[in-house]
Amino acid sequence: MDNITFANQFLNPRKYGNIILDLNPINRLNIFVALGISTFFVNNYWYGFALVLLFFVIAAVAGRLKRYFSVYWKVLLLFGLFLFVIKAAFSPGEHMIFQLAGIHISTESINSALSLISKVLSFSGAIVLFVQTTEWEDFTYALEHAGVPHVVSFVVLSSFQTISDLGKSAQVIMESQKARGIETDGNLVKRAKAYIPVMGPLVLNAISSVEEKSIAMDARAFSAPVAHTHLMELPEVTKSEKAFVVFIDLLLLATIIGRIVIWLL
Amino acid sequence: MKQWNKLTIFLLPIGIAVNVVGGQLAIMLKLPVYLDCIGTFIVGSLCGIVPGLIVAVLTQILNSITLPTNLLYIEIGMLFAVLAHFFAKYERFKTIPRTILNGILVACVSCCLAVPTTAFLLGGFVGTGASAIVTALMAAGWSVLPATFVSELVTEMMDKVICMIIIFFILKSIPERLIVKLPNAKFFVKDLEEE
Repeated sequence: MDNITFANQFLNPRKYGNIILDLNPINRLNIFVALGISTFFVNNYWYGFALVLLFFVIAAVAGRLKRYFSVYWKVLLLFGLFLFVIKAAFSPGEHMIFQLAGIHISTESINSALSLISKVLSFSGAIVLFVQTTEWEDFTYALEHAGVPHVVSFVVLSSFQTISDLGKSAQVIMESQKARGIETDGNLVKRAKAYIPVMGPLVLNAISSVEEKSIAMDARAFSAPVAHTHLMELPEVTKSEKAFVVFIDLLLLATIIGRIVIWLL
Repeated sequence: MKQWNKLTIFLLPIGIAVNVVGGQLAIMLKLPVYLDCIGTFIVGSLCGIVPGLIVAVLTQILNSITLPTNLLYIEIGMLFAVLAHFFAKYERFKTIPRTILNGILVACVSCCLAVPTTAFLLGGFVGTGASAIVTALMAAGWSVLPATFVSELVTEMMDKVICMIIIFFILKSIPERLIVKLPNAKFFVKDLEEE
């Protein structure tokens, strides 16, 4: 990328050229969470599984299928498979299919297991999908636009940086402690003993760097009481996008009200 | 919003990172405990309730990126933040025996909060080492609630007592010249005049 194209990319609002990635991050969060919550109010597990499929389709349309699956497979395995097995084996039920020692599988237990995992899977899917289709800086930009103080953006974005920084220095401290003779392999007690000599210097180091950091940030007008400018901007929200979000929210509201009405009657 | 202490703002990301990295380190050393709330307690006791709450909530949100069911336990971290402030206020971090008592108290409280979520919403399954104990107990004929309770209590007790001891040493070794600049300095530094 030459300098001109690099400079030009900041002149226009950031566009990904993809219908899902170009939604405003807050609206996207709204849509996904509304879908994820709706599963708790629909009393049919096929709906939950349909949502799981839908999220795969959305991820594919957004071109993030690989990223989505690389996180979601763990949820699928832990909650789709193990939770199903445990729930099916230990829930009470009348119509026994299989019984052995403490394990009793019945039609009721399989039904309750299916309805539980459909809810967990679809709700988890909504959140994983949002995270995998959104850049954090876009999301915090949208939040700032909606009136959240810029300190929040700083805390969120710098947490990621600090996590990777501290991870690296943990590695360094561990190597040095090993050189000093602390064992990080072996039995449980040995490994537990290695934890404190790594964690102690790590935390103290991080805490004592706070002062320098705050001076450095204040030198760059971090806490100046004026409106902040942004290097990168997001496109304005279109009317049709707004209408779509309101439509989804109304659907969710209708589902919740419907559920309460059925429950009351 | 009243003007925040500057240092507090810069401690927030560090608290979050310490939570996450502490947990990762425990996994790396294959310890059977989580140790993922050290940052919450440190920020909560040094800076007060609200910064502690922010650290707790953001940590849990970051954790739920990979495992969204973590969101269901968000209230426990928030409770830790509140407890941390009061532990600092009533000087519960002054000696080791007190610190161990803190650990036991925190473990009991967090256990009582976690069990209903685990037992009723997730059927006793959390996807960690504790799940193995639950499954074993349930196969031996226990019902969901006591099985979850026992397994949670055992793991929480170990986790929180170790956690508290680490926090005790860390709080003790933070230099006073830094502590005096933080909101809760009056709980840690003697003969500090009230503003």
